[in-house]
Amino acid sequence: MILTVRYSHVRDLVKYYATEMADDKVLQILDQGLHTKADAEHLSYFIWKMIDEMSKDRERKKIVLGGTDNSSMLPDVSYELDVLMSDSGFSDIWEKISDQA
Amino acid sequence: MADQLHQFKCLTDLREIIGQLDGYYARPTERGNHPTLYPNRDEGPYRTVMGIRVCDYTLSVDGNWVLADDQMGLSFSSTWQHLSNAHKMVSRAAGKQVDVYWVLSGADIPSGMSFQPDRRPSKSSKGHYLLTVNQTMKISSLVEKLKWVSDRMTVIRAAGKVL
Repeated sequence: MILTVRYSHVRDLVKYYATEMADDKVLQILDQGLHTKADAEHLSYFIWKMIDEMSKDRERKKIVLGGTDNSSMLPDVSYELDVLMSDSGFSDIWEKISDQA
Repeated sequence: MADQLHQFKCLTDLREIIGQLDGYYARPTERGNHPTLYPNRDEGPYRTVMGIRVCDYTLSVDGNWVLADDQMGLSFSSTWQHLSNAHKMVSRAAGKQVDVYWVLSGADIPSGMSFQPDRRPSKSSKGHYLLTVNQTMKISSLVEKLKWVSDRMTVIRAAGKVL
């Protein structure tokens, strides 16, 4: 399963922050798909770290993907991650890590 | 319900309020933002035209018209699971209050528009609805219709410190 279908900017956003945070594992998942439980755990933790980084960038007024505030994309991120994890059979992992985030 | 002022301090409060509604479409919205129009964005696939994201609707090549499409539209939640997931993510990054705007599923909406369930074949798309356009219209008309919808939405305000 590969992110994303409906909201293509979610993929752009995840790729941007994976590159910024030098997370090769997430870049690999974007290229090759989500296949293992370990992938799902890694991506779940990454998404919540990414949201915290987005918050910092917004405060710094840093331009990311052409704007200084990308928080309006977050419902789209939620949608795409819910679907990706569900379709890949890893909803329980995503929900557990999100509950703890 | 619509005439009452509702506030929530935590997601449990919000769940109880939402649970009283008999069929709804809702959107988490950062305090100060418009519930149905987006802040201006000039570039990329996420750019906006008059407050409408080009990725949400099917536009004509010149960008002046919105074409009928029953699977493109402004995103709404119709279930607690879908709404709470989106709300949590928006709240985490917002650094300010995130309110919830809602409209009853049986409410009147402008001509040429309708709420449609997301037909993406995933059980996680359940609870995701789109406010779609079912007849071609000028983008300026869609803006006015989305403002009309927002004027009839009720807000559940986040209270206390940021969730």
